[in-house]
Amino acid sequence: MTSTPHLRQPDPSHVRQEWGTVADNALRLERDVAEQLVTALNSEISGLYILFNQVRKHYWLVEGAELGPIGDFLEAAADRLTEMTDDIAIRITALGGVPACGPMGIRQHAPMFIEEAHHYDIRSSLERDLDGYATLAVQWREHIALADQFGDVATSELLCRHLKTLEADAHVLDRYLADETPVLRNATG
Amino acid sequence: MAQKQGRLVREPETSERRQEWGTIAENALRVDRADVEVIVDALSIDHAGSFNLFYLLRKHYWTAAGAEHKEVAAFLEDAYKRVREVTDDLAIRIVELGGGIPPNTPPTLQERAEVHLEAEDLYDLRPSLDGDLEGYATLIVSMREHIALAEKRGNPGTAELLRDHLEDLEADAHVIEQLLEDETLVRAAVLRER
Repeated sequence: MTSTPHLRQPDPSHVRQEWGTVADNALRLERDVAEQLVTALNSEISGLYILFNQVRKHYWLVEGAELGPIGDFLEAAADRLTEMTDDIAIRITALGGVPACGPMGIRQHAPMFIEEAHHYDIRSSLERDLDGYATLAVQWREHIALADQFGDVATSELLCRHLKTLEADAHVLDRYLADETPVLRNATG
Repeated sequence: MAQKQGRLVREPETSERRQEWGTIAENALRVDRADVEVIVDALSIDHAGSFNLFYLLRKHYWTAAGAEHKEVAAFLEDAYKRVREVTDDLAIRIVELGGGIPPNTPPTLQERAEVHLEAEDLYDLRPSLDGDLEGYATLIVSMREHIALAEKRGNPGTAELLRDHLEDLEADAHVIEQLLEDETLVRAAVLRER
């Protein structure tokens, strides 16, 4: 997300809506309420973008004896993150906003960092994934309260539903990382 | 965090690097190292390209509007999932071949991708789909060249993988081309000037 040298830029006459603007919505939610919710949800999809790419990277690079179950879990978890992103992005369009869909948007709203391109050890990689899930979970709880406060029940419900998935996947990671094993010390040579 | 300045990409504090970005390790497939380097470079371009195409299609899936939006969105949703598989498979092949590391941060991806993302604004449906088709075409041409390269370098496994995906990508590109054809049941008189 350093520079964005090669963005495709269709002719300005074809711009339907500018990035960062919120148009009227058909749901009869006040414009200023919609604006605040769009900002909150764009932070959700920016975070999901970063976490999705990180989880997927760890899926590509996982190795060692636990490769099978961890790889399968990460692959499925990444797919679940994609689905959440889709639902939230579509909600942004329903609210009259433009979903963050490129480097600039992600950068403006990102709630977490991206790890360097190197291949890191599996334990710390999964710890970072768990940290990402937890960061998003905290943020979503706040945004659920925000949506409730504005009376936007549907956005609140959407986030609640996906928060359950997010928390379930975080819990799986937490269990993988727990200091517990049936393997005897003298079996590790 | 509300991070708007500085680098978004960070070195984690407490991690052991197993492999440096940009290096090639030994592979278990007994593929010659010089060949691996060339093929990993080629696959990285296609990998990064498919990565961008995935986001391009998804943006248009999210934002498609108008009378045809349902059909277009449903197609784009399926299509982006097929592209996601391409990205995963190429990434895994890069790891297999050389213990290479697939591009995985915004800078490493954007340096290699020949398929470009779109500016953040929302554009009309037709130019958006034009852009998707252009993305497909760019990726397809590059993959064809890389199939020839993999064969020349005696790596039929990679060529076969690319060939498999090429078929799906060409089929999806053709659907977009058909969507964009100048053909409709609607009479001209019914369409007002925009």
